[in-house]
Amino acid sequence: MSVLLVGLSHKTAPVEVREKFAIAEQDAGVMVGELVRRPGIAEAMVLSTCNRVEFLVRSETSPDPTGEVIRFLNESRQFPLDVGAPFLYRYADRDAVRHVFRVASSLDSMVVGEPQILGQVKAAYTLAKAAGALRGDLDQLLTGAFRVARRVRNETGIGQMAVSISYVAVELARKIFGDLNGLSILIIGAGKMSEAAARHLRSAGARNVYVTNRTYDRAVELAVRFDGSPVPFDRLLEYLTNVDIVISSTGSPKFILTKKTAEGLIAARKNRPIFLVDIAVPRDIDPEINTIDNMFVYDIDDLQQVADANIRERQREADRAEKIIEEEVGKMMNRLKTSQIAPTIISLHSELDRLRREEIDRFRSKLGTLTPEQEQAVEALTRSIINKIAHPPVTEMKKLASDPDGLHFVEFVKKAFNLEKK
Amino acid sequence: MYEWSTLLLRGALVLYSLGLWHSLVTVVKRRQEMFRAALVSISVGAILHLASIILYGISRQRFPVYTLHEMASLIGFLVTCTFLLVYWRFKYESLAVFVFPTVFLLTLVGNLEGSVNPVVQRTLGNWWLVIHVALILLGYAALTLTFVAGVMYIIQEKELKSKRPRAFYYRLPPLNKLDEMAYQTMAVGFVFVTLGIIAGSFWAFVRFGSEWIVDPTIALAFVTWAIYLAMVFSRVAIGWRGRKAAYFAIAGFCCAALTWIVNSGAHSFVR
Repeated sequence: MSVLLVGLSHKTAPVEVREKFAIAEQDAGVMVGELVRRPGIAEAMVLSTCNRVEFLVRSETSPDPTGEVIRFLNESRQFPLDVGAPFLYRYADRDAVRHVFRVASSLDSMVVGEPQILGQVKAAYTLAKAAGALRGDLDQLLTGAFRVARRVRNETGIGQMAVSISYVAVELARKIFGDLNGLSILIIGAGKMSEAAARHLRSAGARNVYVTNRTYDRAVELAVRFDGSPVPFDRLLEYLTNVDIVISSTGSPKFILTKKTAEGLIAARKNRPIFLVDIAVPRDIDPEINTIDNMFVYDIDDLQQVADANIRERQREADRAEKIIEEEVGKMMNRLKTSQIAPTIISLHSELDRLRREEIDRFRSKLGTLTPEQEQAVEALTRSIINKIAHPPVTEMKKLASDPDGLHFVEFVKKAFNLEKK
Repeated sequence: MYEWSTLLLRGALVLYSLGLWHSLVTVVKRRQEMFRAALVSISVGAILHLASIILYGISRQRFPVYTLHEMASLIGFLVTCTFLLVYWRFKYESLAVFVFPTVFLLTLVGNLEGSVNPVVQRTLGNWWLVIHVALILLGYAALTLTFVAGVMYIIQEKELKSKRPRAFYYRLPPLNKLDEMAYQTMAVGFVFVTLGIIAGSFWAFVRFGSEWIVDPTIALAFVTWAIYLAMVFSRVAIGWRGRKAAYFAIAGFCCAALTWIVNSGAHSFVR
């Protein structure tokens, strides 16, 4: 087996190079079909996302199909190798398996743990499969990668923590309220971030969205955009008494909610917790309110701080994911190797048998006419010789099935007995 | 039969520690699939525990609540049952990490008995008293869960207020759920304890008149009860909750534990 991966990603190449290599979705299917028809290439897959372009191939005849892949890139004229060549990376066999597993599990992503990449790998797999470019070990390797990605997702918290500020707000709301179903939100002022946060909260189950602004007309306008109900600004306090989450981003130069007001508010709320998200600069909500029991105030820096902590936590989880990957790479290498050993044993036997029959035919004239007994004796003698020859390499291959380096021996047997050509 | 009960109790202890270990791995390493093993160990442990208590009761010919060991074992069992109920309702694995050290400790104390065979007192040979003790122990089991929820609430609240999430932030349940858990278990526990106290007082009045009210351990029991009454009342009336309420729940539990320790066996006036 020789699996090879050639490509470039955000880790090696700047966007100016990546964009030149990016493959349009409609071309990817054709391209993988062309690649798999190249001499020496048995299976292929092409993965192209905005952060990476990778060519994954398997060859049965050539121990290192790098040259063929590079020739393919050159000839398809789409890839400016003069610019891209220094940024290309190349992984073979075990390293290629590991790389595919890491990519599918989102460990090689720009934002570690982001969930899109698995879908992109699956789409590339479907395209290659449809083009008839996957039919053996590479197919097995990729379906294995999907399983590994699932395992990583289930057994580590790699994708669990929010890393963008608007999602952090949703995550915090969940940590305070548990279930967001039926909660109501008050949006004060407008802004891209409050819009995003409101949308996320709503899709997480929050029901009522109220929007207020100093000028009522603007509130009405914003309410349409947020799909909520407008509220006059002078009734702010009344709504603050009832809602669960507040997202504030006004242009007010001073606090619109002071600690004194908040203390009255919590009594009127009968101590029901409230989550105040202040994304305005200068701030709208007195940060001291955070010291009041059942009131939680987060400003823009606090949200960023949580996002940073989440990224660090994801990194910790990624370290655990790497261990899972290493374990799975070992298992996959074994599986691929055993799938190599059986055909090698079969072709070794049939090759030796072919030689035996060839030689018998060659010497038949010299032997003259043989009695059936003699015929049988020659048959038995030659068979016994080839079995004796085949015995040591076959036992050795079977023994090495569980050895990580066993594949080298299989390759060696193939070469020594000239089995590659078949 | 007594030997069997000891053996079963040891088995339960081993299973509880297995359950604790699996819950720890579930929560710390976030390996969700480990929790199934934890639940199985804990449930089987509880069954062995129950069998052990029944056999023990038969071998001693009494309701096993005379010594500290007997009571610890029984409360351990009840806390396990309460935990399983609360888990079934709320589904937060991290609860186990906080509950099971307590269960383990109680069951361990239950296991330590054996060498000293206490003089069998027959003072509890009265259904009123059995009901009194049983109700109060049930109440205590629920209040243990209140205590655990309170501790978890305080930790999680600190994480949220500090705005610097650390390990606990990622692993503990949301505040509101902890609050709900604390309130519901407290309400149930309070009802059981109240009924238990009524049963006990009724029996004591009939048997001893009213002199026992001045007994200091009884006074402590009433203080504990009053704390819980105040908490339940302020929750219903003004929705009192949050950090301070959680501290109160912990204080109430400490009082309850003290009451239990000074009262284990029987009240002094009974002897």
